[in-house]
Amino acid sequence: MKRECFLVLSLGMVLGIGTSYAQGSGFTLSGYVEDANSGESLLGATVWHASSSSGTTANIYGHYSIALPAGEQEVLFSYLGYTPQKIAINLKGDVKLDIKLTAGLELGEAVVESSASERIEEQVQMSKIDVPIDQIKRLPAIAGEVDLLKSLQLLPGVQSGNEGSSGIYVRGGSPDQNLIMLDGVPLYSVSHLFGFFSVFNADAVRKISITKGGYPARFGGRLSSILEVTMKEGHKNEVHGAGSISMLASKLTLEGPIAKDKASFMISGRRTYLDLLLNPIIQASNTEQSSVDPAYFFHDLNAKVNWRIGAKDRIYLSTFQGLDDFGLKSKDSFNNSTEEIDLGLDWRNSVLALRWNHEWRADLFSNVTLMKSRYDFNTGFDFKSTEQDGGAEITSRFASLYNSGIRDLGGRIDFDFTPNNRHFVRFGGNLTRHRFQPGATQAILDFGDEFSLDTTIGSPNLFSTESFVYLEDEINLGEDLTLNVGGHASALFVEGVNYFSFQPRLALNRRLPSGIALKASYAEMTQFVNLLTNEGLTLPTDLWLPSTAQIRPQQSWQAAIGAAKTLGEIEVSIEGYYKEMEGLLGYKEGASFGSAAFNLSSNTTWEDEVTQGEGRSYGAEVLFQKKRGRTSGWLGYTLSWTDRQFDDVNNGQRFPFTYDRRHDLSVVLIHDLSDKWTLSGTWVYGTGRALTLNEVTYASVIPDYEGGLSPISLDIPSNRNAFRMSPYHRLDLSATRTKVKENGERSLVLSVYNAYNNLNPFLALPGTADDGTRVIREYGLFPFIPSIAWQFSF
Amino acid sequence: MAIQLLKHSIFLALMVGLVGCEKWADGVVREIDFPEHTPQLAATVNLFAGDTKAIAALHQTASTLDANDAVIPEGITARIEKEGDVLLSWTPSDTALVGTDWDSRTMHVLDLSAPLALPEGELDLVVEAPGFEPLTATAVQPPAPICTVGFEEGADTTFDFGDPVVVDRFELDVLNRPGIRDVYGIQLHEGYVYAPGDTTWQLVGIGDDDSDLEPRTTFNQACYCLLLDDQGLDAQSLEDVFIDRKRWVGWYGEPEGGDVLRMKVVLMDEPLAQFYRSLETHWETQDSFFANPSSIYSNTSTGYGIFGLGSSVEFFWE
Repeated sequence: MKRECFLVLSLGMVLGIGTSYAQGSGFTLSGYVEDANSGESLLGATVWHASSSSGTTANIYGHYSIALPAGEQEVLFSYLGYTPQKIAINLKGDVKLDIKLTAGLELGEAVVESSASERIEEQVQMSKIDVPIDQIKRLPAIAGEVDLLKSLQLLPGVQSGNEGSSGIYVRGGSPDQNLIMLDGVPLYSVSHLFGFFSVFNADAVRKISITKGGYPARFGGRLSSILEVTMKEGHKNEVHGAGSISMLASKLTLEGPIAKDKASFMISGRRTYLDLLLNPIIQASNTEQSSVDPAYFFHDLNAKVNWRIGAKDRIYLSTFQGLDDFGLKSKDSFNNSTEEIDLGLDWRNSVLALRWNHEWRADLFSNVTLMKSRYDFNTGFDFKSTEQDGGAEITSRFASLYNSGIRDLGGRIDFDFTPNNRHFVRFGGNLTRHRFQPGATQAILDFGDEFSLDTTIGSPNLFSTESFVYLEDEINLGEDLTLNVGGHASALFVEGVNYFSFQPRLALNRRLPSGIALKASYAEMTQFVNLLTNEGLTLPTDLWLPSTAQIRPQQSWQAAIGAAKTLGEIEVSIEGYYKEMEGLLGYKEGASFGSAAFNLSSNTTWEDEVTQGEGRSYGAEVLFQKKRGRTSGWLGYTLSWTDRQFDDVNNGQRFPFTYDRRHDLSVVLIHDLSDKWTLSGTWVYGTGRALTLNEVTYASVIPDYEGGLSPISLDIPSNRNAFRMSPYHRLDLSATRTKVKENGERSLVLSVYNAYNNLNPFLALPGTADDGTRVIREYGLFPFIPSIAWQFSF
Repeated sequence: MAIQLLKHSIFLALMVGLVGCEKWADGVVREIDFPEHTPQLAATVNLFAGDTKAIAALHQTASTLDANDAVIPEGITARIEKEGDVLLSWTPSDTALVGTDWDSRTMHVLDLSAPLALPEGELDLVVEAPGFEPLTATAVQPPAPICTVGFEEGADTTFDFGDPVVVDRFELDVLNRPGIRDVYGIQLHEGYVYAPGDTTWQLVGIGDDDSDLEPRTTFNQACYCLLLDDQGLDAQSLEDVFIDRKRWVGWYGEPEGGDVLRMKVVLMDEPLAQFYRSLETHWETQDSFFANPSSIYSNTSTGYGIFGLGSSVEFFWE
């Protein structure tokens, strides 16, 4: 019935477009909105036609298109942090007009008007938050390294995982349920340093936004959030650069024109250097007989080139390459024998995207994306023993190498169609070929002439083809009612099985006379890829796997209602949501990555280690956000409940999700004390993480090694996640001193992570207190950590 | 002024940081809200045909934060019944130390006048103690397994890190029962004969090296035995189950080992096998930071303990 309703609605929508178009007597104004200085597109810039109280926003390429009546019209272009521009134009036909906005605000009538057009109550899209990059870059950062994902954890509805982790949990979802797109290409692993830092280099990023619900039809493929990260395009007129040296890493970004006003580039690299600093010290302590050589580093590279080919075409080529590499080598010599051990673990991400924008007509814009995404994880060890026996050298070797990964190759086409000022239609499709390597172990045994073995075992590669088409229309049903209706149809072909899913989407915005906007949304989502993970940590060992003939896709539906209003310069929004998920994938009780990866004799595959179940999340979120002015920041609060149910876990009973967090509060403040000094601080509070502890013990008896019986104490775990760790709270502070010089800016950033040294729990283990009583002892990872960073730009 | 402020801030930061490092190493003792535990009865009663002692671990449960986890409730009794007839019973005074010299606990022990021979079919365990809800459980006494074992001494020679190893091979054929999930536990012991009638038996590790395992078997640490399961092979005889025993060659060129060998094949009630499997998984998850926690299987009414039955046959070689 639900689907029939949507078909009727969609038909009505199409008919509505036709009718409006037939009746339309106006023309279309279109073009790009750009930064006057750098020439970079201003994605999301607002275009407002006050006399008809209608407007639109530039798409992620900075392109806009608005239908206007014929004759003299005034149109206002604005963008956060830029001086708005009012254009008077006499429309006698379709007009193409590129607008250049200047950074910095000038007070005046235009500012007031622009604020009105950008107000949260005007946006039909709910559950979406944009955080200005400049604001994120001024937040306190651990080890002086700004982390975009950790900044998002400060938003309502977005929760952090374990202490220090950069993984995000949106409205009761797990990290794999976030579609994280870098320039429109999905990224699978977004963590460096075992999950403590994300791969996004803030210097290379232009814009970041997260959508937690009410997903427009153009998005799909994940259940819980859409995270769009857009890289900088590069300065079109001059060469500029920026860089920083922090306690963790150094980075350098360069951007500039390739052909002035036509083509530009941006390249940004980052590398940690703890290994380089420690290596000489470690080498000095090593001897010829005994040596240990640990090493860890990560680096990443973002690069982008864009080219304007004529007035109607633009091409963008962007790439991201990231690598984490951990290794430990040791060598011990004793008498005539030598033992060498080489342990290693590395994971790498690689993304390549080629996009072509084309403006077919003033009211029809398209983008074609060809993309390639790759993620690899390798770990292994190599044990080698050499013995001198008389004149002969006897060598034995045992090595094991495990690798898993995913390769995507795909294409996508999107159209923006603006037939009139009542409709903004988007439609398109996508086709992606996935190749999953669920995990293979190569075992090498070499004992010279006596025995040798070199074999590879593991689950075979899996191939799947995923596709979708979508159609959505943002319909302006008058001055005070806007509707976004659409459908997303997706399909997966895997192992000879076809899965098909139609997902209706609906969002509406009703502005009340008091200025308050009431919003509501409904969205269904289907997910064909799964991250097989243990709940404790997000690690590179987590396996990306497709739905298969045995593993059904994940599905969800979410309904949300809310209200929004701008009070002065503060945007206030309150939302309530309810979400149900099914087909969630998890390890069976007792199973883990290790049990599947290194079990050489096992005939089982990963599908035998997993189980599928359901999830539920509901709650309310409040956000007060001030984006501009000397003092900016936000306050976010979430009250939520999240649980899970798997037939094979917890005796089939519902249990709290590990990251079920009843209360989650974040306060973020940034204050420009003067032209030189900026202060910022964040304070977070969250209900303690749910965990399972051994609750009951009893004496028992089992057979022993001698063939007799041995008494034993058996500890029985509580119901899954029946306990809570201590609440999480932390204060981070930062002070930045900036000097403006002739050739750029220099900044010194002092920051303190965990300013009042609350050792937030990372794990809890049973222990014994000083008085001999048994206790649960919580261990933290990050105490008070001061850091310093030096930044420059030119 | 600003410099003074900066100096004081750095000093304060260092002090807080030093305190923080100490907390980091030791962990922070925090009270996690544990519910008040109401003790319940727990019983581990695993009996095998031919046993000369009937051992029952009858205790009350405790919170894991309690110091004493092996309290025997006053006046506790237990009995095994078949259709109301009491076959075995333990009274409060039937206690003895069970275990080794260095690790033993008081449990309920019956010295049987004749090898245990319980009737086949469903048997009930009832444990009662004043002030506690009774504990009940049901298990099925299986018949003795019907199987033959062939033995080939020195069937193969291999090398382990360069050292020669002699492989003795056992070939087990089991006549499997149709329609019933059967699980067999296989143990190998070697005996050192000091005098006629004075033999010390030791368990021999078979199957704890996964790479040599017969695919139909799994080694289980909780029962120190190989588990042979007919799941998926119901109504088919389990034939040609090869089990290798490895012996290292000693200083004098002779393979090490005892004077006699004994293989014990136990046909066990399926819940008992489930208990052993869950216990092994539980141990593995306890040791792994990454694994999801796993509970221990119980077939008792309180959820604590196991009532398991089995029958065995033994094979000897000199």
